[in-house]
Amino acid sequence: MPDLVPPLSPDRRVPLAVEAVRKRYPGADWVLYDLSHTFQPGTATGLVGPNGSGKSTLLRVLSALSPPTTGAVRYGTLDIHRRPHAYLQSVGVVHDKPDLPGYLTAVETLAWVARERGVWDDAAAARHAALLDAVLLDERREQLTRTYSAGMTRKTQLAAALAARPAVLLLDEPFRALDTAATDAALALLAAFRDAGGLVVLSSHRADLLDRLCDERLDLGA
Amino acid sequence: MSRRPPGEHGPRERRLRAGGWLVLAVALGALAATASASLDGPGRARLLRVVGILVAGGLAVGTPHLLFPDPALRRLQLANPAARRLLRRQLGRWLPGVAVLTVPVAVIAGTDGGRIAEGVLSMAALGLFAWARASTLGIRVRSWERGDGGAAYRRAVARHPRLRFQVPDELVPSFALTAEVFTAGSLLAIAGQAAGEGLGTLVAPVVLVLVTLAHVARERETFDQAFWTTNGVWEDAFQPSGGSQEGRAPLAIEAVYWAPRALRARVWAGLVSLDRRLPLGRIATLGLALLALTHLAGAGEGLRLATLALYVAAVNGAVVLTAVDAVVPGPLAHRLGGIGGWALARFLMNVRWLPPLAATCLLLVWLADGVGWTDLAVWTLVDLGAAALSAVGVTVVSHTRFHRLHA
Repeated sequence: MPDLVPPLSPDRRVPLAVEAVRKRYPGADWVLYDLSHTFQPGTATGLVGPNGSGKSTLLRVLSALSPPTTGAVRYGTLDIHRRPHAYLQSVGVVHDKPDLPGYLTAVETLAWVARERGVWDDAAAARHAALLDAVLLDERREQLTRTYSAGMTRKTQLAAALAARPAVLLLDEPFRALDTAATDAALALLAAFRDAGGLVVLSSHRADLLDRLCDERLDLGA
Repeated sequence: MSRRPPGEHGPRERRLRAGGWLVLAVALGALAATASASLDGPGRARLLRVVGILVAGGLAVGTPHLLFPDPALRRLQLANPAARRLLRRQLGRWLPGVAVLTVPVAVIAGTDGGRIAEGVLSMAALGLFAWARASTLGIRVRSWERGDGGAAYRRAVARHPRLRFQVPDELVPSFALTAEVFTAGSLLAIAGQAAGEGLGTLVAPVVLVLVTLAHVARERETFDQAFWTTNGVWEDAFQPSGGSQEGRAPLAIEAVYWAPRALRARVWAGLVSLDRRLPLGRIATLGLALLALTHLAGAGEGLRLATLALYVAAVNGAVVLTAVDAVVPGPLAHRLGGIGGWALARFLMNVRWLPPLAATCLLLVWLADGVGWTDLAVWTLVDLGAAALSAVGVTVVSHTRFHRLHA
């Protein structure tokens, strides 16, 4: 899929470093404690651990949705919680909780994301059509996303994340609600992104799928 | 990007929202007209300041709850707007509310241009100040979390443990926000009273506007940090795994013994959810205190009625939050029962505020002039009526919406 996920230029291949991060919610125990880890570009890392071990919390921290209690996360030299806009320009996110603009179609959603991110060009519409083909979203891509099933919503989320032409993909349970064919298609797309120099961090309870995609696992339950 | 991401609302929702703002403005204007009908010039000026303090109390408690977390947070992450656009979006969400608040103020001010200017400017200044302080709350919370901020507080509670607030240290800045906004509103009222009439009454609100604008100008280039951090902090505070941020145990189901057995579970779940979503206890206490104050101070009939109406509307209107998917998901509500059951359950959630109102009225029968047993009976009935009306209204609207979405 070279057109869908072209190789990232060397200056966009930047590591994402978690430095001594501790995280707790108000009045509760630590969810993450002194976590340090560097995610390298061109790799896919699976977050594993039992329920409540902090997988979603770490993804929220990595996506600048939640600040760490102490410690820092750096994308290259950038402190992502001090300059979230600059960081998020390089990031595509698939949240576990779907939140698409309900009154846009999938096609319009991708166009909106690309235009907002400043990556819209003459080839964007064709690229988006190919992305939606790649995630196996059928002709209903022209219907409003509020009418979608859970699986169709997931496919649109993944395509929207890639439409932003990110260097980092953060995915919380990206295969949930996908059927077998769609899961295989999503895996192939993510593998292509990784092979193009992208950095992938994902959580999934499907160990078999993590085995197929990931170069390493970060066990948060250890 | 407009202040709203495209596709956030359909045409019907947009019309409903605009209609909602209009209805609220008209209702508050009518309330203000009732409250000020019999007042002369100085009386109107005094009422303006009382209303200013009342609004300051509301903004002090409610502003962060109204602003955070942004309902389109994850969609905004997809688009990743720059700092200034995030600032415009958030301000755009806030300004209609401030504009609506200026309606009753303008009505109370009457035909005096100076009073109108003072009232409207004060309200705008206070609304902007509350917004600006709430917008950067996350940065301060984070600073306390890291131990960079709050050193004086920590030293004080180490010496005098009784001074400690019953919340985790990192949530103390949200209490400070409440105090800042309420103090600013009170100072505006005091300064206006001291200035008397003329241009002098505009000095305090103009100063507050300028100070706030300077603060906003300083923040605008880095507003993305304030936006994402404050939304994150606020979402964290309401995470299911976030523990109890109230500093007290949630309501036990046994405490809802007064609800019929068939409805007890949903009344209990609704009350616990409401208590975690909104500091309704503080709002009700503030409302009852104002109610008592207006009666004990011998305020005019209109003001007393308006305060009562506002209290009844606030405590009974909060039940609308139980129709929000994040509190009680529509499909779950639908499975658990029909319109009748849910309307009754919401009515029971509302009537928990009846005993405090009745107790306050009872005190006023003894302590205040011109309050009798008839008033107590009437007010009780008004509260019961409002409780029933809001319960039925919210239930019908939420069920209709559910059926429309899942038809």
